[in-house]
Amino acid sequence: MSNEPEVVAAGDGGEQAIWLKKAQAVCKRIPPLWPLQNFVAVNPYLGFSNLHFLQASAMLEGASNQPPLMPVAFYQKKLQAGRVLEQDLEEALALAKRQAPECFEDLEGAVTVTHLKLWLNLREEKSAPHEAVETVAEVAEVADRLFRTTWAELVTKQISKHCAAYYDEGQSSWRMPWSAQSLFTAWRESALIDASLEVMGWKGVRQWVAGLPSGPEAALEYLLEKLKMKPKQADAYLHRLLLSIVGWSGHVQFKVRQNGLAGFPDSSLLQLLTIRLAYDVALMECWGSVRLSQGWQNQWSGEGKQWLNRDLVMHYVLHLAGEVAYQRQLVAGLSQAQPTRGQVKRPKVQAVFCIDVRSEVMRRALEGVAAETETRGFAGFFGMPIEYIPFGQQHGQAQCPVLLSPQFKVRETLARGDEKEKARALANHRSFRQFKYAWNAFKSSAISCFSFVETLGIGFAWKLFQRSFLNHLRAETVPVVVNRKPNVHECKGNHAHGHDHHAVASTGIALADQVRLAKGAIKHMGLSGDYARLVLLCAHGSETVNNPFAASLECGACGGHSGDANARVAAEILNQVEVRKALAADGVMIPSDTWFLAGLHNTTTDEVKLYDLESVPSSHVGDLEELRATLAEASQRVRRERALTLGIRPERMGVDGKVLERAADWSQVRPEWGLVNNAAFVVGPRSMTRGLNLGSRCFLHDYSRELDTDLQTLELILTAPVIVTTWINLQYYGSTVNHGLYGSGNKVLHNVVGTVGVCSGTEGDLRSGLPLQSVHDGKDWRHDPLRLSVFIAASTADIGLILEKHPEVQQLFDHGWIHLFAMDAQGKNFHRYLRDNVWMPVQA
Amino acid sequence: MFTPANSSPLIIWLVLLCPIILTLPLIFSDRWANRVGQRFAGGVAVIAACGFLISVVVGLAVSMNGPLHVVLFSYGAVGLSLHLNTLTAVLLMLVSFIGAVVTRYSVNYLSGDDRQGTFARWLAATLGWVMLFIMAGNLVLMTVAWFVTSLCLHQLLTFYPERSAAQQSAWTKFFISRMADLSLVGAMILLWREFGTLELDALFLLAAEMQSSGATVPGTVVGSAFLLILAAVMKSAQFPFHSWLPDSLDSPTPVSALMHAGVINGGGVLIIRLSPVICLVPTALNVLVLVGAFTAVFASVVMLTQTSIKRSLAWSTVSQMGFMMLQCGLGAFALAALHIVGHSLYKSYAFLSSGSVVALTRGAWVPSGSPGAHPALLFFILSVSVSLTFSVGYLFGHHFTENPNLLVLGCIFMMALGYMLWNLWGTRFPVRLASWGVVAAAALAFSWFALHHLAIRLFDDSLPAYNPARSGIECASMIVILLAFCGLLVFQVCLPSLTTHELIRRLYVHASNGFYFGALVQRLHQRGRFQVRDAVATSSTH
Repeated sequence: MSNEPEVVAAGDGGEQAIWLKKAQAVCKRIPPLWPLQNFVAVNPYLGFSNLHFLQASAMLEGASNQPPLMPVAFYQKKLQAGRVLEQDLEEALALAKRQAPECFEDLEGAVTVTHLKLWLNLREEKSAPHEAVETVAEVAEVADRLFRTTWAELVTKQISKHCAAYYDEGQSSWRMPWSAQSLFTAWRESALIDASLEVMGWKGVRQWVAGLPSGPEAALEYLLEKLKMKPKQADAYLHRLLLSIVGWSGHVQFKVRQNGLAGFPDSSLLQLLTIRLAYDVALMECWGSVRLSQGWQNQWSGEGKQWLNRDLVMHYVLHLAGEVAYQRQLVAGLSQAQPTRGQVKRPKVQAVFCIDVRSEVMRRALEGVAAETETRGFAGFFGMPIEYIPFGQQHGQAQCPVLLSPQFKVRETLARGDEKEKARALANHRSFRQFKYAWNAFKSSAISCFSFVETLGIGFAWKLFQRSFLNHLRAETVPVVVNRKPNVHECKGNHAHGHDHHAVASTGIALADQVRLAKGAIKHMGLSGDYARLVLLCAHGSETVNNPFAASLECGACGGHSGDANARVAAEILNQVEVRKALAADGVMIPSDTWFLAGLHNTTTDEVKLYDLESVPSSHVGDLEELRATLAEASQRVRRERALTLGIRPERMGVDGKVLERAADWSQVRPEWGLVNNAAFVVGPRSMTRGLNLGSRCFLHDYSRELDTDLQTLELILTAPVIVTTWINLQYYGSTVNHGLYGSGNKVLHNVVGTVGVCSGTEGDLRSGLPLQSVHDGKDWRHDPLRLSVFIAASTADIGLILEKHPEVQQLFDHGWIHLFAMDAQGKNFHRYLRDNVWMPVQA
Repeated sequence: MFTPANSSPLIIWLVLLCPIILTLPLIFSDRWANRVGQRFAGGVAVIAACGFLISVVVGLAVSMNGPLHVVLFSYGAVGLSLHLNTLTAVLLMLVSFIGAVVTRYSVNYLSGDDRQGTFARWLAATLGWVMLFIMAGNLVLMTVAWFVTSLCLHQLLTFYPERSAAQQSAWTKFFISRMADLSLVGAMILLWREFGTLELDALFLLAAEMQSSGATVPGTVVGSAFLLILAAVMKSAQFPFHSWLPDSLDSPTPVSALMHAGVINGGGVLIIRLSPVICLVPTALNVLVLVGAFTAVFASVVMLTQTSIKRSLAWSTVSQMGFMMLQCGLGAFALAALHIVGHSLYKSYAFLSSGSVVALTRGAWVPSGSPGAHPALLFFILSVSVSLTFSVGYLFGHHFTENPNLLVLGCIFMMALGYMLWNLWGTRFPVRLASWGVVAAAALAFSWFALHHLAIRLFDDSLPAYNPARSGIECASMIVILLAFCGLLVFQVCLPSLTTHELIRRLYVHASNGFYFGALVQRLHQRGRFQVRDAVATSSTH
């Protein structure tokens, strides 16, 4: 791919290098988009971390006409409803000036609260829709404006068609013949044959493509020269091009990221940019006219608008006021925290949940039902970075935050049965899958699909009936996984599967590693001293059917998967006698009557399922029974609380059934609300938040400064969970404020492409982010877009120390992508982080 | 003008209730319906479920009392008359069942959409008029119902009016449907002139008389048969009128489910219902054979290249409709009806569950390496599929040599079996899979013949027997069709090793674009929108 440029660059001086650099910089602004199989929350503004939020807003508005803020009317409503007070406006203004003074420098006119109000009133009067802002346009758009054509749409379609064929992972049975070549070469080859554009009236496009340089870098330069592009203009224009195919750009960026992690540099995104550019130039040369090229040149004639202007700053302050208002309330809540219980009694059960906001409701309910229960928050993969390989398969999915790569492979195996039984089960399983493959071929091939509907079509009557009228039975969807469990011990180099000639050698976790993992988990979970007799490690997952976005409801800390495997692995390791011995030798004493139990919180139905109960010692059976009863009651409480948000009246009969039904309903577009409304991340002891109703808006991570003598845990929290929660927060944020760009639109139109993403309707760009139904209930936005406020129970000095060590984390705080507060463990002495490690005390 | 054969008015009123109650939601204003939203949709779902229950009752009544034809009102050619026989009863049950499922699905699926009421209204109306189309006993009534159905469906296809792709395909369909209406009206006029009645059962009697008299078929009948076939080909998205169907996915999924399962069959139903008339003109049926076979092969090749689930399903519908038309053309009307039933149920399920494709591919088995083609294996597969097909066929008393239709269709089924076995055994061949494969193939063969047998027995009284002496050219065309399907099989089997071939690469690109019929239509639309076109300097920038 990148062997040509050397030759050209030699003759052509720095020109090409400049273009290449510009293009590469623009490519960095595109966030990766994970495939639906493991749809991980991504910060859509990832490429702007090096800029302040305001500067990024200006840049986005310039390239797409969409600043990452809600319409002004949204904030006005908040003000009128009294959810934002005047004092919040004042504070927000002062804060903005201190956090981003450089953005206030070149403004025409001052910005004060009075001005802000005046501006708001003015906006109210001319409530006409947002005036059309002149942004940079592609050639296709210029043509559409001048000639009322639909070329922009057509070009997007053409590129999407190509990308879908190139990156298809299982939809088409006749695959694109050039998928082994680079994206650009494959495009070039097929564009030499494809006559669609010529049918549409672009004369001689195929010949034109034949004249393109064969390397993408050379082609990029060639094309930009044809457009007579000036370096000054290129930035916004190239950005605009990528945004016009933001979905596929995101998918390509994902591939680039994966290849980069594996050590293969990948220029696919640059190639995609070149392809997009080629269509613009082709339009000009094969269809265009004098008028088109004049129209195209005209847009560069002006000075160019200053995007970072007073309007934008006012708009931003308005938004910030909403966040300040929320923080004010949260600070008030946290500062009412009861002091830590003096007498530490041994709790009956300790339940460790994921930091996910949905755990907050469950934890509150559990503590409400059984006061002697202690709950904790920890990243839901329980410190087990594994790749979990399902029974009988060769590869599994990475079950850890996307910032890490899995260190261990763990296979699923039979919970009971000897080697012979296992071999038989394995052979059965594989034959069954192979049979299913042939069955699918029978169903979908060109020759046999006719016979398929004639023989088996009638059988679908039953399936239709069952799915439509019997879904309350929920029989089909409950996975029939009995007798399966993770095999932690199958160790490196251990060929346990003699019959399995494809077996991967290195699966399982060696004892030394188990001890290391156990130690890390215990330390970072903050468990110490008084272990309960039962420690529940409760992961979470969601249960939905017919939902392409199912993974968006799963555990983010487990890479968009259900976390049961991680919890089971963690419990298995922690229960091992050898591990306990080694831990004791290291000074970590776990009482011998403490048993670790793995569980899964089903966030759609709020049931908690417990695993591997057959290995629970008989001494703990009583505790287990008690725990089960408690969990059942807590589940019911949570359902009742959630029923309100789902439009089910909690006082009516059959609430449980109605909530449960949603998990199995194939027509349900809102099975649950996921992490909607998330707004804060509280890192501190549970005593600060216990008894507070945080309304499922807070991520909660347990942290105790006394136990964290070397600040390792704090460092871990700031570099991992904070980043993951920020990605989640900004994903919801982007899908709400920029739904057109970073949201995936109406679910009822979704059409799954190549099993990796969705497009709306027949064809078109891949959609990124969350569907409209995930953040909007038809009447209103369900997600209140607030940037994450992180509250940490540690001193400003400690936090500053860590931030200095990690500038890439610090810049997120410095540039206003996250709010940061420090406090003490009693929930007093709040300090707000401004920037560059400067803090400001907060009045509680 | 006609006395009811087996007058049982209660059943007639009951069945007439279906279109009436399903049209009722249209009485309510859009605004009110939308305000009530989800509850309105719930009400519509209940109505549709009632429609299904009524159809079941009607089906039982027909199976006990035999067919009946009732004229409730008539004026000249126009008549409100219903014709119920096993065929219409089965189709009624099918459509009302799909309707009950689709309306139920829409209750939650469109929840929160501020035009949910509008959607439910038109969904119900479409359903009601399709049912009227099926039960109509008079050609005028049939034509009217077919016209209104299309108008109602148009409302659903343009449910999101701001989507330009939806507009484009819906208006293309609108245009094609109106042409189909015209040909249907033309056929109607010709039949009226020839027979003096448009009551279906009277028509069928007269047609049967004409058939048995052995007189030459007059030009009006020939013309009407061709017009009917033209109408059906247009309505059921046959080549070259197909391109709007794969482009019409910009409306909510339930619309696709209803359209692909309940409405697109309209052309096929028309042919099957009017088969006694069309059978008088074998040439027309032969044309249908060619159009159907070509569409089936053409669309299924395109289907292989599609990268999105809904588009693959839509192309598959085009090819399935082609196959159904092929069966009609061969005179295997009962099998065509069976095909409609099976396809509708499968396709509506496939559309409604199209979101599951992500979960299904997770952990699906993919063969490592391309399937081998050991000659012994190929021989084994061939012998299993041939012997199973023919032995089970003889078990059901079929004599393939006497019935060239069945020979053609049986051979296609045989190839399908062979393809399935080849996929099962091609890469790995453990002993257990050998037995699984044979058992599965036997079960498939058994169910294929059993269902065919059942369909022929069931629809015996509703359909004409059609097995004319085949001329040399007709036999030759059958052989050509068989060869085409054979080629399809070989092509699909060899595909993995063919992809690098230059010719196949070209074919791939053209096929993935549906051979540009969609682009051509788009160009026509664009031309309509062109107002300013600077034609002077097209090449000035060169």
